[in-house]
Amino acid sequence: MEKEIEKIKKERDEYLDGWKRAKADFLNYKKEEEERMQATIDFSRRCLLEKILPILDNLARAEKEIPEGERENKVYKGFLQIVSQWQEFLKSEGIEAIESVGKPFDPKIHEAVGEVDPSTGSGQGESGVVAEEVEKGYIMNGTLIRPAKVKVVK
Amino acid sequence: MAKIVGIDLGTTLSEIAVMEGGEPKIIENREGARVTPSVVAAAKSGEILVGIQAKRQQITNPKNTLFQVKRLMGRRFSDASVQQDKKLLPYEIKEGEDGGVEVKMGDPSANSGQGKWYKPSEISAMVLRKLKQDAEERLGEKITEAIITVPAYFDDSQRKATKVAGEIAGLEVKRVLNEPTAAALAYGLNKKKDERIIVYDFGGGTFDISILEVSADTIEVKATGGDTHLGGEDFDQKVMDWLIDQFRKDEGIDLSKDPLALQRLKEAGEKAKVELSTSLETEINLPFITSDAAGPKHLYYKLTRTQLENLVREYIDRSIELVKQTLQEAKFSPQDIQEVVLVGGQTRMPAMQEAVRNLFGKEPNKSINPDEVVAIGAAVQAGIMQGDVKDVLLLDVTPLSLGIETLGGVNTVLIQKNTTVPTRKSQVFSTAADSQTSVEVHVLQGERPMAQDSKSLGRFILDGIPPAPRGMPQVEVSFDIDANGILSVTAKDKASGKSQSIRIEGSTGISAEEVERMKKEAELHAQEDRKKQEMIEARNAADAIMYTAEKALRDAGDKVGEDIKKEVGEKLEALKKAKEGDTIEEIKQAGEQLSQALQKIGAAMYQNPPASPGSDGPAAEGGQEGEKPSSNQ
Repeated sequence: MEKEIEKIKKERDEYLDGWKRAKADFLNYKKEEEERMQATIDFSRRCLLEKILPILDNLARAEKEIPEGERENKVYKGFLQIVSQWQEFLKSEGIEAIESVGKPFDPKIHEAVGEVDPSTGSGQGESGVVAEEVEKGYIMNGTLIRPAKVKVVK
Repeated sequence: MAKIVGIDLGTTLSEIAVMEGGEPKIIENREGARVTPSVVAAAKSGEILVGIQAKRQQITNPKNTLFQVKRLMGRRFSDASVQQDKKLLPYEIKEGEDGGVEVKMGDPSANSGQGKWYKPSEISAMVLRKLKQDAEERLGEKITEAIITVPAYFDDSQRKATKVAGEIAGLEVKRVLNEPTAAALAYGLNKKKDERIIVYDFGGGTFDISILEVSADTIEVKATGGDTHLGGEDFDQKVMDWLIDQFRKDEGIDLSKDPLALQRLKEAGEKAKVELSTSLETEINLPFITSDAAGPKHLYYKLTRTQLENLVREYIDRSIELVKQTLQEAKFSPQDIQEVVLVGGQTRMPAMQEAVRNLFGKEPNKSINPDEVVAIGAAVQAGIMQGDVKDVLLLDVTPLSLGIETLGGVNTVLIQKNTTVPTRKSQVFSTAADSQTSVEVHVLQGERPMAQDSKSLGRFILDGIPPAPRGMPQVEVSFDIDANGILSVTAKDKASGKSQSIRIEGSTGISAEEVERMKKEAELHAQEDRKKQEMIEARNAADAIMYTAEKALRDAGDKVGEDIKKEVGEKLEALKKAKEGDTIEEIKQAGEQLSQALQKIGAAMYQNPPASPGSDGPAAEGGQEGEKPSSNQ
């Protein structure tokens, strides 16, 4: 009889312990879930942005091709206004473009796509400094969305 | 107890995973990515960089950026493969004193002036240390033990080198696990006794085949094969070459000479390849790709799935040839294989899956992310060693949704299917008519949206609800399923406190076939069911407007002109008629017209405000479409 009670007590303790653990696990899970939810929201925003940014890159490429002295042309002017509209949109979403040219190359925010000879046009400056930006990089609330693609002085 | 992690130390990419709450989970690194490039570099600043940062500076620092070091792990310098890789890798490789391989990287302590020679294990250790430290940060606890995976063909010395790398990184390596075995574990195939499994691993740069045999308590590697220089990157190259060819034909310009254009082509090519795994056609749109004297040039091509398949057919065929060869060497035929497992991102390509399916005549296992399945499997092995993966407590799930019938014969679900039991859910309902004193609770089971198509589990009546306008009483209906699958349904009137309940035993006791049949039916009838439900919703919405209109007419008294009242009355009749018909559009239209007319009552009442404020004010507000009467208390 006593043995039986002993056994049941032991079982009870085990069950109670298991139940408490399950409950604690659940509470912890809930907390983590909240964080995960926020992370998911950030992630989905980032994914969307990653898809939008290449379109903006092409707008930037188009802008570069506007001939000198034609920027006052009405069609180009309208186009440039659209570009500026996009930039405003990014700003309002808390997305900042990374400043690159003239800064020392930093693999945290830059991706090297080429090197430039120090003696040629854009290669003025010290070795290891960003000479040219090929594609803009962006940061949202302190986290990198995409590094800037740059050419570095040899 | 500290957790044992599982690590897939790959040639180009590495991942780390852990068991959490009985489920394997990939741990993100500090940069927020699930994969870490297996790249290590001594930056010009003297700093040692690991992962994506090392990769980003590779172009400016090729001699001090080490990648694909896995190819050199535990090998002798004189090995033919080392001699071959030496030609392809841009960093310096020499023979160590022990006959092994050493690689050179700028020495940070010497500010990258002179290089320092490292053993491949030391470089892999840097990758492992980053994985470990980033995971510690995420998990908030120390990691000291790990399981690391290696290709099945790794020999003893290569395995030892991998173990040493782990130890240098501060990890006790509990086991060096074969990558294909890990993939099989991820799918739980270790439980399939006496079966043969083939793992088809098409990675970024290597292609591995392994044949495994599951016996009583082990998974044994029976044969391996493949090609160490065949991978998804070859596919990207093919797409890129195709784009360059097309552009040369159309524009007469050779983009392969333009490094910036090449960079864009490479990215676009890979993106197109990935997209064609899910769609049949994709566009490659690269405006301002280059320019000549005539001005800017744009690249725009459409690539279809079939075109892509034709481009890379030789690689797929080759991989199948290699599989056949491996089978032959092991003296197996495709019929001897019971399970096929796909590993590596490239296996997402439908044509590749089809080639494998055709060879073995069975559907391959591919539900787990093929980029992560090895790390997941390593974590599962860690879980088995820690005792996490014991079926300690088997919790059941409800196979079908449970709900009650509501206005218009709709099945309103309270407990969704696949909810883990025990569980409890409640929802507040109300009455459908004025002065209704009882409600019938009809408990339903099934996935169909209409009550008549669902299985009835039981019904009961809750009466004694104090008379009140419709929508006012609050009846809380609670569903409670205990661990044995017994369902209790309780309805409680919040005002009177009266309650009534029913106990339904064996609510999950429907046979598996019946469950399947009901699920199939639900899919089959999805469209017609949606129509029916829309109809009912439209009728319910019409009811609500009609109720509001009648009340507004009663309350308006002489504050509103007869012409308006007449118009509302007519529209009300029209809606009643439409409601009896069975055209959703007509009901909606009539409802809209009535609600527009009702707004006139509201407007009129504002123009002629009542003498004393507070008399019947809310009536005018009731003109909004669909607004339900609600308690003012």
